[in-house]
Amino acid sequence: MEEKLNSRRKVLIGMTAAVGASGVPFAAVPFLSAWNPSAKAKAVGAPVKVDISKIQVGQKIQVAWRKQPVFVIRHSAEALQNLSRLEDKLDDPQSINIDEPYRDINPTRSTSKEFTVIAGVCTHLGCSPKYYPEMEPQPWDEAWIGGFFCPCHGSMFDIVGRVFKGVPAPTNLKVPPHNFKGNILTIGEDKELT
Amino acid sequence: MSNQSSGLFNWINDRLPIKNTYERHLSKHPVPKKVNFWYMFGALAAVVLIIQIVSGIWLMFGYENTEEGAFASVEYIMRDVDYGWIIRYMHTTGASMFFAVVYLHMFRGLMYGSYHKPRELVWIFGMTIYLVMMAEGFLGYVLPYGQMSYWGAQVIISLFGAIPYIGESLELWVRGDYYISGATISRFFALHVVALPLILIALVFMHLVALHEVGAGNPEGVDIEKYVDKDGVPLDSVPFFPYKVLNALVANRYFWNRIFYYYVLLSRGRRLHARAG
Repeated sequence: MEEKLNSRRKVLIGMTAAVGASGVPFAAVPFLSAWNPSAKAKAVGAPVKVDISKIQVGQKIQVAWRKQPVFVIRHSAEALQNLSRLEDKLDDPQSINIDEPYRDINPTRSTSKEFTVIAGVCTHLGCSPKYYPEMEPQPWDEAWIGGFFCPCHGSMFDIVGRVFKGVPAPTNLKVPPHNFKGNILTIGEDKELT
Repeated sequence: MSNQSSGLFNWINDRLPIKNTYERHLSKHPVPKKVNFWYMFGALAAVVLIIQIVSGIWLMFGYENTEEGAFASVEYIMRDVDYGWIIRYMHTTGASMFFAVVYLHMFRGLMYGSYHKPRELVWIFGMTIYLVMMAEGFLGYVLPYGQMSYWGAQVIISLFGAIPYIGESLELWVRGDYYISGATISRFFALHVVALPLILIALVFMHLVALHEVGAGNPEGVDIEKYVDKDGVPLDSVPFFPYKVLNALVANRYFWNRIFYYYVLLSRGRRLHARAG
């Protein structure tokens, strides 16, 4: 009898503990959620809109999104044709090694046939690569056909941000989520904003 | 429980076990006679912990945990607060010294097998303390919000990003923003000054309770409990207080004088030199 009571008591204690423990996830929700970006941080980090109609062919503009520089480049048809010439010099021409959002859509790596949208942050140590669009010999490359050169440690990228072989940067420049609607480019959002 | 003698001390002692605790952990706590120099670093680590807590509280008087204010408030502590510079250098050098003494303490543990039965839990608590110390050190490093802090935080938070699938959202969750910002600074501040120190102190307490339950080891691995006198006190032991405390004081005297203050003052000298030059 005594033993039976004891085992019953154990079951009751176990059940009480289980009910108590089931409250833990609920109690944890506000504490864990409070670590997420606040509404204020989300507002500051919201997508940015850019009017791209005034960008000249071959020109690069710089937009700030989430405190990061984003490069928007308008390419000439000729420059885009030259891209395939570079491929054996590139480390990852198809962007297989990174999480590429718009792979195999356009040679520009964006959702536009003419514009490239890339994060202006070197994938090596976070410097901002400089844009050298001219097709002319450069101190770092005799056969330069235009692209980005990082002044910090000499990483080279082509005009759509694909990394060269044998440079410190490990991967292509990242393509942020974006969409084009008419002359308006939205950086930070895939879908059109209403 | 009740005591024949009177007085305020006894009144308190009947309600709070001061005498028992004092005897159990200090004046009658047996420490093997043969412990050597290497057994000093635990006590030194405790002293550094106290220095870190005290200097940390003093730094909080002037520190501002905002994106705009963090760096400027550290400059303020260094330049405008009387002796603020030495308090900050005590804290930063103290953090490095904490690791130095803890590494020597761990080396002793490895060398003499201090982790063997029955001291497994002492070792596990110690390892956990070490993990918390690393987190604490990292968080503190970020707080001045200078270049080293910012990029250090960038690299360490990016480690979370290497976890498959959840990595990127975990990074966002840790930072509380899309980049390292005031949100990151203020949560790191709260963790650095409240959450982790509480955990650290609790773990140190457990480390000591577990150690005092089984007693300190010794280089030869002699079981001192084997030969005891008629009161059950091990013959090969001395009480922790005053014998080992004296040793610790001498070690502290040398350690702080030679290494710590020397280094702190050198930092000051270098800084003044850099400013003059």
